Amino acid sequence: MEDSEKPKPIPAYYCCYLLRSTVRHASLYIGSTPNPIRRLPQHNGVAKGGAKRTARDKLRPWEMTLVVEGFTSNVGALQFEWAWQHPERSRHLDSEDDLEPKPRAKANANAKTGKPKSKPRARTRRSLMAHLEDLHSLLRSTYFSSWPLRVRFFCVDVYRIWRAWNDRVDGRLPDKIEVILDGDNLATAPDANQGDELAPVGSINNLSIDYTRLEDYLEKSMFMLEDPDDLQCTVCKESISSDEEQIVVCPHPNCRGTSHLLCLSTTFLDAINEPDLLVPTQGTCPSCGNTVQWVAMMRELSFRNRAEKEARAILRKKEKRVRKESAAMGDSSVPRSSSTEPRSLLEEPTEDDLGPNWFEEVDIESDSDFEDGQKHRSTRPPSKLEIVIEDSDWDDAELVE
Amino acid sequence: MASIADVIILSSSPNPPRSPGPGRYDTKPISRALPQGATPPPIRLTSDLSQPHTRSRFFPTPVASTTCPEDVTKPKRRLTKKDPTSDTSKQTAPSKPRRKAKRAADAPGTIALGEPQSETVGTKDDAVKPTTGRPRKNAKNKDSGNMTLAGKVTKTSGDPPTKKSSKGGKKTVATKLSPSEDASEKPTPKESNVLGKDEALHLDEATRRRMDWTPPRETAYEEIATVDDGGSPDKDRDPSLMRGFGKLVSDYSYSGSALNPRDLVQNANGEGPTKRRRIELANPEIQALLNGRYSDSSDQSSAQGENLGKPKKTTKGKPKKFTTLTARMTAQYSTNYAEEDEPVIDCLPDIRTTKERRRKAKETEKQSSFTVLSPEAAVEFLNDQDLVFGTCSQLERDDSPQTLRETQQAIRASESLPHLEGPPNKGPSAVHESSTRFASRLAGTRNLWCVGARDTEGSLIQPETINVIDLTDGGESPAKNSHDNMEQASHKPLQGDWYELEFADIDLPPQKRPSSLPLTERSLDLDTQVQAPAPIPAASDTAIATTATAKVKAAKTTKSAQRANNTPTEAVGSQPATSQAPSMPQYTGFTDAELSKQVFSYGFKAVRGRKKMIELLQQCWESKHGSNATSDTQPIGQPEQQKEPVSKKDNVPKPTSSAKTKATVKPKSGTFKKNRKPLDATKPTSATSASRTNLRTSPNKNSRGKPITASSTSFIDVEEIQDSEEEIIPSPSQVQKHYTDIYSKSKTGSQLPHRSLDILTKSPSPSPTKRKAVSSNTSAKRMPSSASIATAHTAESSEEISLAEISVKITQAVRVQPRVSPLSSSRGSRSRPTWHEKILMYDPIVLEDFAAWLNIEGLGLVGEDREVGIASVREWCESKGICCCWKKKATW
Repeated sequence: MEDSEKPKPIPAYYCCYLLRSTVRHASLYIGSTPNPIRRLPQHNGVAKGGAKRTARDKLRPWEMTLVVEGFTSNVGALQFEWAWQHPERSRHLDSEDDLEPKPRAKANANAKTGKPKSKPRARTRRSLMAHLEDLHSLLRSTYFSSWPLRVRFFCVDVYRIWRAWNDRVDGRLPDKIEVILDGDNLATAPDANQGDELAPVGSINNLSIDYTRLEDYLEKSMFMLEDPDDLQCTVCKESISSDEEQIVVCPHPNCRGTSHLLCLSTTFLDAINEPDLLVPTQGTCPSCGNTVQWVAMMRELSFRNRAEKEARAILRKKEKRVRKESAAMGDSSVPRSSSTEPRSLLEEPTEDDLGPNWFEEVDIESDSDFEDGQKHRSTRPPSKLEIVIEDSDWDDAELVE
Repeated sequence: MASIADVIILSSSPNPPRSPGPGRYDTKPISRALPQGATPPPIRLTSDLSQPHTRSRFFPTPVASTTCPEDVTKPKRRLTKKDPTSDTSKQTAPSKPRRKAKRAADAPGTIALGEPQSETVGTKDDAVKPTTGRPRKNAKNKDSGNMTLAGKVTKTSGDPPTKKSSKGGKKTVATKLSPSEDASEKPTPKESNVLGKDEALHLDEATRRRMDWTPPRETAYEEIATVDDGGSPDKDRDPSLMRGFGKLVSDYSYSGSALNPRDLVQNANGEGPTKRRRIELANPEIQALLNGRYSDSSDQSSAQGENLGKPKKTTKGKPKKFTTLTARMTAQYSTNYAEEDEPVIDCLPDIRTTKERRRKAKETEKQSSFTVLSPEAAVEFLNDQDLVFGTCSQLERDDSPQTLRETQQAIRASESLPHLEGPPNKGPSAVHESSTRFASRLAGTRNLWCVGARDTEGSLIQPETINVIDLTDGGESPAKNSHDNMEQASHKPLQGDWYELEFADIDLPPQKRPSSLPLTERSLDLDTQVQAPAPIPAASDTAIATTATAKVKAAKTTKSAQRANNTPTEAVGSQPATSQAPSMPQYTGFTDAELSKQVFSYGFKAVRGRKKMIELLQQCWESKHGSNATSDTQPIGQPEQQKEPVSKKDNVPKPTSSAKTKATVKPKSGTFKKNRKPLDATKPTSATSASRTNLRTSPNKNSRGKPITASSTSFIDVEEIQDSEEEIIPSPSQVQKHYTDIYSKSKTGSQLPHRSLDILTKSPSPSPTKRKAVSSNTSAKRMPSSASIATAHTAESSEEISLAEISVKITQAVRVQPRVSPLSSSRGSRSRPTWHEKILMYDPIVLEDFAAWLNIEGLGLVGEDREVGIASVREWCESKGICCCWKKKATW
């Protein structure tokens, strides 16, 4: 798809979230969205497009108790969502159980026995605890554990349960998966610190869900690559041509390191001495020596290469903003502090650029999928091993794309 | 038994059409009942079960005949069959037709009476209504009762005659079959109505007689009564006598006087309720009532398709059935067994299992041709066929066909006795049945054992079964060895040494080996053996001998046969890699934890499946110790592994396993010799078997064996051929994905012998020069062969086999993929990122595209000729945490 067609850049933000009714805490909902700021009002009926399952007025308003963010593609997010919604069917959880004998969630007990799907007990365990258990298992699964995911808790009580489960469960989350305390967990509302993805933001509405946070990085890289003649790969020392090659630019603001994608990845992978690994999680920039996150570089790279217009639009807006600010404030060299205003402006174009309603479609489908899933999938014949396997990853993937 | 059932049927069926008969029934039943009771009771005892069925037959049959053409065919068959029986019985006992004639005369009278009594009948019918059996009849009866008696009468009169006419026609057919009965019968049905009335008057006498005859009647009736009770709710209804009889009449009405009266009598005499009924019947003896009932019943029957059908049957049945029960019984014993058998089969499902029915049906069919002397004919049939009793193992181990034949003859002789006895004893039906059953059993066994005999004689299946036996039964091995020795001794003079070798390898049954047509048979047996052994030159023999020697040595060394084999092979001039072979650990024996540890030790991440882990470990081990070692090692591991899976082998289709095993083994094996030797070692699945084969082969081979280096090369060509052939066969293996390497390995042991055979047979054909060239290129060729194999197999099957290996290859391929040179394309890798770049950029990997690339290009870069399926690619992606997805549908 991406090959022949125009490949999509890594989304600026994509998350799976656990929605909970503030009225009735037992009512939970799992969804995924690239834009939780828009999505939550939809669930609450403020905006159109909420899932049916969240449409009952009695249960509104809903709150996002936690989000799993950092998905590098809508496909991945939807796969994760599906697996989380259907832990008893997810092959990832099953496979995990094979390796881990520990008594996982009851749903998995079935999985262990063999083909778990025989019992579409889908909705039997829908407690918060169960969801957290599933989430924990998913994050430990072979498939998802290597993804650059983060879990951000907005509700204290949910995090408490999570922590309790962490203490009980045998497996540990991979180190690379960050758990961020946010929202209620914070005594004081955090400053809107945009640079750091890992920083708490205090509320869903403060999440940076667009590419604007890349603007500095993007600006630097694009500026550097516009005149690549003097640039050379920091690894292979050969000249680079940004038009023809995948060139990675160090995200560090002061670093002018550029390198071929494969060269840098090889360097990183060699450094961690895991020959079987294909994607590094992070590495040390050979130029500046700082530790750089692979995902961040890839997000910038893909956005720069695959959404050039949008990238340039972001830069233009930044310039405008900077100009305004400079005009207003004199000339402060702090474009970064631009904060919310520009962001709101920027959101629209970026989203539009990604394609007409592509995330909306995703949301709707995921929602519908989820809701229908209760009926459809429960009704589906349990024979399913194969079917289930395909379904789990498949349907969503197809739907999304 | 059968005869009784038949009689009952006839009686019941004729009654309804001849509805007028009821009065008669009473009278006749008395007269008939007496004779019946006297003779038949013993018979009935046996036949009790059959009788209810008979009724059931009647019901469906008439319906079928009248209503459903389809059903008609079956009932017609039955009827036709019955007809001859009845004819025969009639012939034997002319007295019955006479009675029928009387009954027929009575019948018209009953009809006349029936009209006026219809009112009473109508009331009775109302009472009867609650019974589920005939709502229609009841409704009609009510209507008739409400409307007018005359209307009913007309219906009865009109319908029954039509039925009768139809019946008459059928009867005519029957008459053709048996002229004597037909003549009597034809007139009887038509006349029966009139006569029936006349006889109805005699009811009183009949009742008296009944009283006198009670004791014998009881026995007979009890049985019948049971039948009636079970068969028809009518008896239950008997308290309301009219109702029950109405149904009974409808069922039996036409039977003419005889059958119905019998039923009545039976009811009366037999059980308590029956007696009561009978009394009641006696009370209502008023002919008018009875006649009315019958008329009503006849009306009902006419109205209802079922009833109509019944009368028709009755008509058909009448002539035959009218021949008295006793007469038929006796006559049947004297003459027709086949006919009797058929009804019995139908009637006695309970007693006889479905199998028996089938057997009997077969017998009956067979016997039908031999109508007169069915038992003898059956015996002849049996004699003609060779029956061998015993398990497959026993059969296989029987030394010679002669012994088998002798045993068969003995069996025949022993079995033939009861048959012969049965027919002469004609008197007791039970004995007769038993004899028939015997025949049936024999026939059934015959069928079953025909297959077995074929197996013994030699078929494709045999080698497999033999192998299984060997594998499963360790204790039997000595016996088999002896057997093999016997075979060898007998066959050596006849056939060349190489034949013997083949046999040893294949474990073909002894019979085949001696056969004069070894070539054809073998070709059939072994798919691979396309080429006839005849052209094999002396060199081939020598080569074989060399192999044999190797085998012998291996046998001596015992289970680690491969080592021994390898050593000789090395001596011959093959590659020396065997020493390492033993070191290969048997991963199948490891626990999951151990396996996981091993996997980690090789630097791999945890792999999900145990099978995969094993594969991975084996591959790792191979890569570590070199291809040669690996080739040897796998086969070595197989025999031991086989022990566990042996039981499973049977379940698992061999072709799949063979394909898998080959795919795995070939690429790994350093040289064909090695492959072959391990195969040979594995062939005997168990070490014992291996030792046996070796021992057997050893003397011959040693004597002739002249090791030639060329022999090793010669095998190479053969293998390729084998691969292509066998692999194609196993393609269906996809289904058994779950049976992973272990099964395949275990299977390999069993199947390997085939390969070895193929090798042996085919090896001689290729020219030595070619062989050498091939040997040099063997490694190169193997890969393509394996690839072709993979292509032949479905992607999935191949996936699991090699997933562990392939995953490594995939990663290599992904890494190796050259970046698109900037010169070649304007935008280079940026517009067309390599797969690794895509992965690095977290692009969701489209499995289809990725798999396609791997198969077309990627794996080729790594020197992997196999192909990967999408599923395996998916496994790989997920194990790496690479986001993968399926190609979206065209919609996007």
